[in-house]
Amino acid sequence: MGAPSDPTRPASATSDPHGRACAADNFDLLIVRVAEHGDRDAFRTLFLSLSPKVKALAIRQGADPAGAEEIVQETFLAVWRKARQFSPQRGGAGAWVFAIARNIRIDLLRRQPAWQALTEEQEESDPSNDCAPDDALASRQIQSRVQGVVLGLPPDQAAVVRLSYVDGLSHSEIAGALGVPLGTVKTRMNLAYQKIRTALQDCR
Amino acid sequence: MTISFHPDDATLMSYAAGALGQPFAIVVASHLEGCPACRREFAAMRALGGVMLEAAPAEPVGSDAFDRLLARLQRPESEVGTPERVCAPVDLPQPLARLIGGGIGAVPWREALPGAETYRIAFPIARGAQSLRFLRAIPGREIPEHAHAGAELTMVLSGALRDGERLYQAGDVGDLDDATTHNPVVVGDEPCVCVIAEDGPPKFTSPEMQAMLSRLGL
Repeated sequence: MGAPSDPTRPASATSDPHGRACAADNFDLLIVRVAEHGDRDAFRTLFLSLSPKVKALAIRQGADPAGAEEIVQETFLAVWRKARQFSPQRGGAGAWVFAIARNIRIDLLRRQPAWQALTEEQEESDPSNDCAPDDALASRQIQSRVQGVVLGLPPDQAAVVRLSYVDGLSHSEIAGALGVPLGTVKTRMNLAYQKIRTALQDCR
Repeated sequence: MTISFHPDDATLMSYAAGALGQPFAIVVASHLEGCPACRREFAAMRALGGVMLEAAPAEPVGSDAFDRLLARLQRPESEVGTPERVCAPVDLPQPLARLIGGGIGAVPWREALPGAETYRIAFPIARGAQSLRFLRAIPGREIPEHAHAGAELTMVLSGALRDGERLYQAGDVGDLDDATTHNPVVVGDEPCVCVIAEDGPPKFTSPEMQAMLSRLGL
């Protein structure tokens, strides 16, 4: 999927599959360059890195190949147009792209945009009110800690997180798929989140 | 507004994941709008989305995908929708005001029981339908004992509802699963308006009540 001749492409953003925390940091910078300079090279690097993952999630969640390509297009159109609203202090680039792709997918797959969720910005915690910027961990630290927690989750908790975030299944659907009560699914999700909260507690 | 009861972490996570059914997502979005504490937790749940995205397998996109994207960037922006705010002062959170197209007064209420009116919006899913139900009831009105076909997420919009030991007031959310049987009652001196997302219709303990409400199509 690459453009090896692209000089603007940070090597760590895509070539090192284990350097995700570093990649996340670079993704943040790429979006800032898009926002501040309309930097198409930065935009292209971001697109080449994340679009195949946006497409993979769209397919897992029920889009056909053409529909998944459309979700990719709409997602990155929104990334370009909303780049100035991105704030690394409020969460990393991956989280922001995930949230945009999620809203695009819900609109396109369900074709019922009338109600709409809050926009990505409305959902965000305002650092000036909720968490002083000086106290906030940099998004790459948050991302790297959350990643550490995810890698260490017991299999039953990892499964419900994956079925939610990757497969897009509701708790009731997960309960049906795993053959466990609804309450068990919620308990496993709650336990997984308690570990994340603990890992991030010095931001609170 | 002091909020005492919040959606479960699991429910907020499912919303962050984009995995909640629409009526549930509307209730969570309505709560988030007025709850800084949940927005703070939500930031970590969004970060989890970023981790899961970056860990996802890669599905190659079309070789012309980026060029097509650049071509689309040249076009005017009007095709990109952003949710319109309902501008008039409304007594509903924005996600509900957009759905209804106004405030509580714009809800087409229908009497279900003496002193209790309801309005139900169905959201079809693969099998059956989830629904979002508005309920307005006078003080002292008890909702007859019932269980649920799955999850139930209730947000109080005004007034107060007592459910066992818990007193739910404006902004509070009750997050229940199919193991709960309850008979909440409106308390205080003003009517209670709430909105309820549910996997399936309530299952009333009393067969007479079940039959009557089924006849009414409620």
